[in-house]
Amino acid sequence: MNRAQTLLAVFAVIAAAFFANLIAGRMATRLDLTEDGIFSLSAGSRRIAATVGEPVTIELFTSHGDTRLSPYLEAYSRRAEGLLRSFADASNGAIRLRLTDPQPDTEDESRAQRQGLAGTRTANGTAYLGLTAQQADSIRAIPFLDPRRERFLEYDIAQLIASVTRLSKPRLAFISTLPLSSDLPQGQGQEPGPGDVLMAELSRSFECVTVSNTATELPKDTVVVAMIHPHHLNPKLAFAVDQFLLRGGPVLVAMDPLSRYQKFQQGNMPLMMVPASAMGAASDPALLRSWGVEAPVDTMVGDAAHSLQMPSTRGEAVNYPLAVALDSSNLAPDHPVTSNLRMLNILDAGSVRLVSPTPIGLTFVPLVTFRGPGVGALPVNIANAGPFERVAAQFRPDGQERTFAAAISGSFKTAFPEGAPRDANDTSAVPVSLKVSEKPGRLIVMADSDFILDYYSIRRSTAYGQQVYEPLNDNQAFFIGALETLAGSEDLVSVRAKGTALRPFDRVMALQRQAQATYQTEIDRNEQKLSELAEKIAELSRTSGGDLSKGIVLTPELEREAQRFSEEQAAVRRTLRDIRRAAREEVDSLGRNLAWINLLAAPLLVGLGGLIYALLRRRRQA
Amino acid sequence: MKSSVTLRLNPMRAFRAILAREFLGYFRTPLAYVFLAVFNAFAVSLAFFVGSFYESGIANLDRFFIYHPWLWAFLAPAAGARLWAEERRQGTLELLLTWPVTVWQAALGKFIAAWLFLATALAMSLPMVLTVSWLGKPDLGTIACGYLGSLLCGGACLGIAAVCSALTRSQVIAFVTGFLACFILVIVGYGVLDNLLSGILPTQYVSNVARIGLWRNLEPFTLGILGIQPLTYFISVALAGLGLSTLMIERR
Repeated sequence: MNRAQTLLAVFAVIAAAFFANLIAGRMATRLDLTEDGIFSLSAGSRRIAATVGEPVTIELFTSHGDTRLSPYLEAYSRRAEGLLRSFADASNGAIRLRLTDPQPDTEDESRAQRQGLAGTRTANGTAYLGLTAQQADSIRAIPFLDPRRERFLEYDIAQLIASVTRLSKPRLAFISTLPLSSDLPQGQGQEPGPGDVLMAELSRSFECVTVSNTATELPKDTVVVAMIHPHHLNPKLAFAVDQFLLRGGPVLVAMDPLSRYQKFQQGNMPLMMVPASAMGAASDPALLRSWGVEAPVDTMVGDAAHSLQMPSTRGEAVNYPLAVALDSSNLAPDHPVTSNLRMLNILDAGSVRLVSPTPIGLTFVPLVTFRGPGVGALPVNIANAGPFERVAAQFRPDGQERTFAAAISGSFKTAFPEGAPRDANDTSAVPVSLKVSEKPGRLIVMADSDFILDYYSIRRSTAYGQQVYEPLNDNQAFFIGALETLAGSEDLVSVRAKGTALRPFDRVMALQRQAQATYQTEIDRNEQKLSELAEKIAELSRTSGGDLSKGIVLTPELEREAQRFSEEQAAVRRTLRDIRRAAREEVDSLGRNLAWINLLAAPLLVGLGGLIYALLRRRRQA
Repeated sequence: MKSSVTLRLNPMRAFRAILAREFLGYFRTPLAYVFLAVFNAFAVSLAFFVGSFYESGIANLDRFFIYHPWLWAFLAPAAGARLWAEERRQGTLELLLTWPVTVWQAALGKFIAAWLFLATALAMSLPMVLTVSWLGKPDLGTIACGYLGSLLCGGACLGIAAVCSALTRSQVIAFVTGFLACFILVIVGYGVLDNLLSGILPTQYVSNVARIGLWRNLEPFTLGILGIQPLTYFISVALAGLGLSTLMIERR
């Protein structure tokens, strides 16, 4: 080869490498080698991504600079980025991914804040890990990517994209016998309605159309139906809902064996002799039953182990087992609706199950379950008779599991086998109606209606002349989340919970738990001692009339006494530090040992390898 | 002369002969053992003491792989410096070329041998895999993918080192220039350089520049994603390095 040829060849090699990268950069093919396929999109997400019409820009805000995220969150951000890339790849360029590092006091940070992102505090300021999706001028955000929701990351992103690309809010037909309405006048100085906050929150995600129980049909283009405490429904409306469900339309029903709200609305008469159902305090279970779902309104479910306190007639607090605070042990961990809830407060709830014999073709997934030794049931007439202390005394736990809320899906049978209900004088032919589900139906049943009301879920306060609300619990989040899930497309519903990429060091956690168990009593005892000493010192300064911290002490005896206490205090603090260190010691020393083993392994392997090689050579030479 | 005839007729055997000569050649010098030990000592120390591998509590090897570009930037030029520079200095290059093999066979054999040496260093970090599997239940698919990425990253650095080695007679110069070239690719996309660049260039260009960084391309591998883009990047850099260095040797 001459010089010119060589130069040409060199140029060709560089050009080949350059163009190979250029072409590869346009190819989105990726292989997911993770065990659980955490970067592979499910078919539903793929369809959602592929049907994005107008371009959607997804912006992932991750703090990298001085306000760095913890290693754990940083690992999670990379996991999220990988999944977002999968969405972008599946969208044929309709989804663009933008990565932003919102440095403090920059335009990026103020945009993050404007779009509703929630920062986390770090040593150097506020760090962000959240994302927004934008199409034209509609923006939706996931304020903070919580690693505890990792299994639902794909679902959350798919939902974000679906919601930002939806042109209008889905229409919610809100059938309620309680005075809940989105169109009540909101005057100054007016008593707040029982569900003002609920309806305001709902109208963020839905176009709510309130439907009275005497109406005869559902609003046009209804996407999802909610029935709150249904009773005395117009048969025509019931038929409309029945056909809606059978056409594959999602329905949520909040049943109630005893609507506290309605009961007190109809005069405060807890000891009335009339049966509760006649007062309209109980929902009508007939429609659900004919669909194959039993939500009995004659018994109430309680849990003595999770009970809340209620005032007795004498004003003392009694543990009232029918008022319960349900926690994560009661919530289905593998369902997107319940996985991130922490606490539900429920009063006078019923239960829900499938009718027996179990209908064929229906799947029953419990969302909220009463479980544990404290669970039991009580007939409604006893519970309704009151007062709280007498009801509590009659409650007998049987430990049987009961479901408070469930998602039921599959093929439903109509509640109107004879077709549409007709007026007596109507002689025209019965129109054809669906007898079984034409598409798989989706139904969520909750066995209480009071719990979603503002009284039981919102704390109101006034700050700077403004009404502010804060949730007392996750009651409304549960209700609204369930409706949002129902309103989601079938594609969204099919997005399953995924495996996790952030797997913990099981062994270290076991060690930590063990240390905790061993040392906790000792730590508690010493902390108790510490607070006693602090109390004694404060007492001393009060009796001496001076302020010890300012050194005003009257007598030498008192001074000696104070001296003794603070010495003792220092000793206890030292002990506590030692205990805490001992508790950490095992975990720390394991880390040190592992570092040493790994450090020494390589030189040992090298030495061994070299030795074997040398021996082999000698033998060969010999 | 009979054997040479068979060699010429069988390029596979010629290639294998070169490969064996070169690979075993690494282990004849004590320096190689030092390199292996140093690589692993650094890999483990960086993961444990700088990367807080243990404290993070996450059962994966992210915190281990994140420092590999730095290690390769150091070790690949060290292994690659002797590829050609040594032969040229000792005058054995002509000797090698009298072998009944083409320059390309020789070059490929030498290159693969060096890569195998890097793979040996990487394989010695197996105790880290055992450690993380003992501590928790890591995703072994992701870990395997991370190892593949790291090995390819080492190959890319080796490609650069090969070019530097072909350009000079001095192993030291070959090592230093190779290290500097790799070092630039390491710091591209590491944040510090991004900040400097964003003062000069528009944001879009900065992210394009960051794309040629080693870590930016290794990162997807450590997550368990085998992407065409980073795969092409590493392989093309390795092959381009091999091609360029061979062209330079052939020119002599």
